Amino acid sequence: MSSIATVFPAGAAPAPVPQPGAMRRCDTTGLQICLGAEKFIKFNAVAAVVFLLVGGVAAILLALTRWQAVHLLRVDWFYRILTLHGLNMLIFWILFFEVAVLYFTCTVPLKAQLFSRKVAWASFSLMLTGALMVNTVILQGKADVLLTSYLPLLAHPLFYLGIILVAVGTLTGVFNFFATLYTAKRDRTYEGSLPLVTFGATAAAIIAVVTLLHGAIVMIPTFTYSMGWTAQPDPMWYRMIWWGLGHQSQQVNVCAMVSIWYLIAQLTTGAKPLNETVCRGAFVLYILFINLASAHHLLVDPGVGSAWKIWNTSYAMYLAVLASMIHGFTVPAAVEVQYAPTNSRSIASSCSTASPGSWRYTNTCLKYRSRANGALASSASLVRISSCLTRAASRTSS
Amino acid sequence: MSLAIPDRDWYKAPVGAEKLWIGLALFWCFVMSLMMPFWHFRGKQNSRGEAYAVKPLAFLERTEKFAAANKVGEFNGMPVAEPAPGGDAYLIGRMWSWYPVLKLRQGETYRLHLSALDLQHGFSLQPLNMNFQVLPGYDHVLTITPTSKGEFTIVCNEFCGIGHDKMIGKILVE
Repeated sequence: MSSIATVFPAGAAPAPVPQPGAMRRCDTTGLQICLGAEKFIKFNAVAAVVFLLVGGVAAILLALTRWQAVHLLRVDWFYRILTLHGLNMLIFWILFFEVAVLYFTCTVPLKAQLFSRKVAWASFSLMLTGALMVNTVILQGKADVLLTSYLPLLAHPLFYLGIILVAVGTLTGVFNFFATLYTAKRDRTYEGSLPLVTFGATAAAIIAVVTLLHGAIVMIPTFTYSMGWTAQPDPMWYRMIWWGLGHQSQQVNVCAMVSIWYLIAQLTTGAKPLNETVCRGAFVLYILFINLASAHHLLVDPGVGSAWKIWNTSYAMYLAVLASMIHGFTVPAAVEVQYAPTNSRSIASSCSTASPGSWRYTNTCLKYRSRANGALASSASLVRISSCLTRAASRTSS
Repeated sequence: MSLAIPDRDWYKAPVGAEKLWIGLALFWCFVMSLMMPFWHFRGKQNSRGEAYAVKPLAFLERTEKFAAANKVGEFNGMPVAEPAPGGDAYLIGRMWSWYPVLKLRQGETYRLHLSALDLQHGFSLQPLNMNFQVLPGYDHVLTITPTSKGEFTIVCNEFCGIGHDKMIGKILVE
């Protein structure tokens, strides 16, 4: 919505008032939604599931080939469809969805407007162009190199260029995310620390920057080699840097999905993290250590030593694994506490240090729940709980 | 809430069951961290990653010289080479075969040199399921001691083109 000139004015300016019609209020949750962000969330999320579908159709074709009774595809088409499957499932679906998650988490919880629609268009166009370019080249049979495209196996230059465009486009979307966080803080659309969901998405965005830089660093020399402009990159170097993209893109998704767990737990049950320090600390462990484990793809490679392999594969003494163990506890614990009466002996309630004021959500939910005879499965209760969330949310935001 | 701004004083240490859980998980992380180097030595099927730079054609030359000097027979048209006990054995992967067939003795130690002529290949010894990457330009050295007799098959487990699934080699141990 805002161009760079209006967002970064020459002198000190008062906080810009959202233009009329720029935000809307969600009827169910009472949250403020930036319409610009909503548009791009939809574009990116729809693109994500379309690429997921392409990968899924490819998977069915592959399964029907591996099943000897059908043996559907010829050998060259098998490897072609295998390449299509890998790229759409592990790169395109994940990165498009990641951008949708980032646009949501930087605007809705902060009541902020997306930094720039132009930047969002640039990001989406680059990503879509790149993904379509890669899929086309694969289906034309010019890139039978599988997802990993290990050198010296060589594909058509447009294969590498397409992946570069997807990486650069995603980095542009991530920039839009960070810029929105900056302008939201500067314009004081919220006071205090970031909500946990946004904090988790920020962790995912940081991991994404590292991931996508690996992608650019490995694909650019490979592209120039495929054009005949430069010498062939070393195959072992290629493997190491490529897995910096291939493995770490999955870790971006891990981090983003953990944030979504917290989001869904709250939206469905009103769950509140028991201890913000623990949850945020776990996300910091992700940022520091989760990318190291790309090394587990290089465990039987020549040229890298065992000590390096062991340290990196272990996520630095399993500290990123500790983070996952923490999230695996705190999300269900937060949900459990919502349904435990305050005098119960539930495990989760023993670790709650919440002050009486912050139980407002739970008390309201319990009141509605007891009216509905505690039958949470009934739709009537869900409607009552969502309306209680709306009421509580409007009280919180006022 | 996860969606709402946290309270001002959200920074506090974990207590109760949460603290216990983190402690148990951290302890388990230590156990797993120790298991990794322990199994590296105990497991006896782990490459140290020992490798040397070599030009693919130079490695091919060494392999052919080795095969010619140690030839003891033929297996389906492929020469069978028996390296000296304690000596070097050379194996080259290329589209789409493993050259030569190796004949080894149970209980003897050899230095096996693996490399590729053209693309990346995967050395996968079946049915033991021992797997190592084979790259052009890299002489991947494994110190191996066969512990059982038999006819072992090498399959390629790194995609290397249309003949990838037919790229099969042999190691005979007696």
